[in-house]
Amino acid sequence: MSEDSQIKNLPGIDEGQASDESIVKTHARIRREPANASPVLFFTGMALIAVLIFGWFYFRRYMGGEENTQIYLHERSDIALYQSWVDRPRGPIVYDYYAIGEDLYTKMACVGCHMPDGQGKPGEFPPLVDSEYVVLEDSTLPTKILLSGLIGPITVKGNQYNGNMPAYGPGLKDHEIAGLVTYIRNTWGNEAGEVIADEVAAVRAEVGQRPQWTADELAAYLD
Amino acid sequence: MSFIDNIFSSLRPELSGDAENRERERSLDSAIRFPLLSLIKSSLVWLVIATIFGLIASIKLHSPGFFADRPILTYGKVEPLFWNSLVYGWLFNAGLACAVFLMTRLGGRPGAPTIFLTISIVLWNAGVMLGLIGIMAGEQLPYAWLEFPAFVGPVLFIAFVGIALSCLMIYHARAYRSSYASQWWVLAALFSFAWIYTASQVMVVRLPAQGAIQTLINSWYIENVFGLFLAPLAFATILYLIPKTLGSHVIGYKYSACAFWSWIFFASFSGVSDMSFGPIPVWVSSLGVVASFGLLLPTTTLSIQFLSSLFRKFSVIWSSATARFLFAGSVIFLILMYYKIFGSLRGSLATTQFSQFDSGVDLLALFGFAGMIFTGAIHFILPRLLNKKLPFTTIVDLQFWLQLLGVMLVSIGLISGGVLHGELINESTANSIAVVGALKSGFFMTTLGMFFFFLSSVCGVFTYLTILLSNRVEAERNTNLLHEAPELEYTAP
Amino acid sequence: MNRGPFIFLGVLIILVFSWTTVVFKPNQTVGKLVAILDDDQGGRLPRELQGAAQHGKEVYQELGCIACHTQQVRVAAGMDIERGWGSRQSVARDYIDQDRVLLGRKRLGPDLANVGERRPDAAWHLLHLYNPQINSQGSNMPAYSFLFETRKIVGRPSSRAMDLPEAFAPPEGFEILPTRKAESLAAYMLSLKVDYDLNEAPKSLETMADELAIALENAE
Repeated sequence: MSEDSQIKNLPGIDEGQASDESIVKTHARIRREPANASPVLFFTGMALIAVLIFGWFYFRRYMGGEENTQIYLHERSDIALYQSWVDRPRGPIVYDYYAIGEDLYTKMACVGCHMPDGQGKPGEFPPLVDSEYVVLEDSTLPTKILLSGLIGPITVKGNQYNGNMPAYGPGLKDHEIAGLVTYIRNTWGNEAGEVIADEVAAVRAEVGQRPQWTADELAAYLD
Repeated sequence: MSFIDNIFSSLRPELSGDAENRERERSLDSAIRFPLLSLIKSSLVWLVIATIFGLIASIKLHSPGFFADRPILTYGKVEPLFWNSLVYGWLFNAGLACAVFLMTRLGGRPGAPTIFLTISIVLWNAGVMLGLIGIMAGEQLPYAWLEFPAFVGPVLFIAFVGIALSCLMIYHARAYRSSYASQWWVLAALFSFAWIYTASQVMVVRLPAQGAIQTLINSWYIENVFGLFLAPLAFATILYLIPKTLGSHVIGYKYSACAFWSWIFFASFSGVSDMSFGPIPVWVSSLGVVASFGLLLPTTTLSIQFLSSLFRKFSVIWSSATARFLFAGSVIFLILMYYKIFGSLRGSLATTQFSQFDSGVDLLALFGFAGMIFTGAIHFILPRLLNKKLPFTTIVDLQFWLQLLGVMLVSIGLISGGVLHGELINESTANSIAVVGALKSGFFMTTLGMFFFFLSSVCGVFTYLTILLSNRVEAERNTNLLHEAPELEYTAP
Repeated sequence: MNRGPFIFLGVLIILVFSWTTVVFKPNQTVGKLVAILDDDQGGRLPRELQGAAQHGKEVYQELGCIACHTQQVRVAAGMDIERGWGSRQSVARDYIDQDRVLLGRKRLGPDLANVGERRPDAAWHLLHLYNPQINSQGSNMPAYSFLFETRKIVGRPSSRAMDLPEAFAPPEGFEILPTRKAESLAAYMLSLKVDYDLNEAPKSLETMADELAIALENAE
């Protein structure tokens, strides 16, 4: 069944050209020979030098930060940029109060009662547009209402309303309250000026934890 | 004259003639005949299965509608099915066949009880099959080359330890005082895989490390399966078969120990460079890059050893079924290491990371280097085991060329496709759909290459079946089928 | 080199050294991270997967989506941030909750680390899974129609039925419904958002340079 006559000279079985024992013993003898100049030694030596040089330079350059073992950046210039960025001076945070308030007005469901146009609902929720409680010069009044809520009948712009506004002080941060107050004081035609986080913090400290305001209590602050 | 008779006569040849001709070799081969045949058979079967999965996966890359309605054959399952059957099915069986053969021949004495070895082999292949079924059933883990479900790990580990212990026993029983480089490489491969598999199974599969570390260990594992298991077995095979088929000593053998230790050292670190730019600290991937570059050292030594020894007897290479595979494998080794070494550098990785470049280089390593070497070795081993000639050497020839062509097409398709992918994706914010569309021609090339692999695997199975089932001719009933091999010629300089 | 134990010892030392340096040591520094609490950014970071998204992660794993998609954003290479795949580098802390991490190694499709922010609509994902050609024309992704069932409409059409364009619609009298797996997978896609910042995570070099410049200006 061997077809080796048919195809060039591919035999059906490769003759062994060296015995196993001689392979082992001869090569062991080769290993014991003294080293002599040979292409293998030369190229191996060159490769070793290349590897060492490469390793040295690569380690020095790309090992990341020494202190921060979690550094994820490679180039030294990038790591330096990253470090300066992490250490950048963070001054008083500049908030865009109007934008914060605009965002929260919807998120905190103020729209649900006071409506997107700030007109409120007759009989229940007072409007914020041109409301004497919102646009007065003393911005601590709307701040107080937001912080502690308001319950019971109240007269706004001559109309009676009766609702139950929860307190938003516990759930929102100073800069968020400031944002909401700034927003309602400066939208729908109102132009009453900004409120900042520090002012809210002062009001919060003054007012503390208290039950919801009533219109009678607030009357004192109205002018 | 029936096939059954032929199989029996293949497995238990009754030879007449000069009993002293190759007495030692024949007794060694008959001692490990059955386990070695089962390893070779399993490797060929897995190769066919793997190339079928590879073909399906490759077709899906350019024609995603292919088999898209079958949940078992979705690309996300076929891809791991391909890689796992390729590595654990084909390459492990073929590599371990070479390991067992090498250790036995170079030791000079049979050492291991073959029942033990055979049971381990069956257990290993059962484990691989269980793992593949697990992937199809949807139990796969999301780690490359570790997709087998958790329960398969211990099965494979125990089977591997069985095979490794058998090889160790063979080594321990050796007759010669000195050892040959092939034996060091086989020992290193066996020790290494046991360790890296344990570490990966424990730290990734069983008691998973936290988050991104799992991927780090995965990258470490993948590179080590090639660098510390498959490549050493391939080196061992080349180093043995060069003197055996060409009668020429290995040029530069003196530096084998240096190549050995430097390869093991650098290969063990080189995998983690895959995770450059990823969620791990930079020093880890830098270490991986340095280690990959360090592989330049052993690559230089080994490739000079292989190629100069082969070129010294270049005319003989083409008249040997085995040596041509060795030659192709050695040349591909050089090309492969070029891609591995320079492909791991950050500049290169910035383009090729997450593209098919990785797959291309891996397939070059698995099909082109390890695969070619193991296939050549199988063509050397099979006739000796059965004391028969390969019946259709045309098919062996065809297998070689199909495999070579397949390797070239697949690797060019994936490597150039990967580089193109990276370049396109990095040069603009164009939609990734358009980018992947530009890769279609590369994928077609890959499919063609996979098809050639499939054909070559069919050739391999054909060769195995025909040699097993062919009638024994007169010459093959004689112990003089092969002549006693002469002493290795070597003159000290 | 002739003694087995010598080779064994040498290989063992090398392997232990390798394992200690590139596996054990990173595990000690970056593998024992804890979640941090940051009120300004919504509490516990990274955010935990909830409900159907957890099942969706398992479906993602089972189907092998990781074969084509990554979930990591790079800053030091590529155009990940310019493509809108994220706003900062993915770091180890982002993955500490994942029992089986899904980082991925191949991008045949876009990175998915922030897909919940890019495509916050579950219906988009269901359409995409049913047939990517519906909303990603020319995509190389296969259709996962086996994640959906075709049912005869009995009485009124189901509220969960998919709203498919004409070219992909089922025949008259039939409706296509996502199975639980498809819905979980869509929920998982929606949960893939890295909308918080971490101190150790670098943003794109441009962003960092800009923010640094602004901070330095403000300081004056």
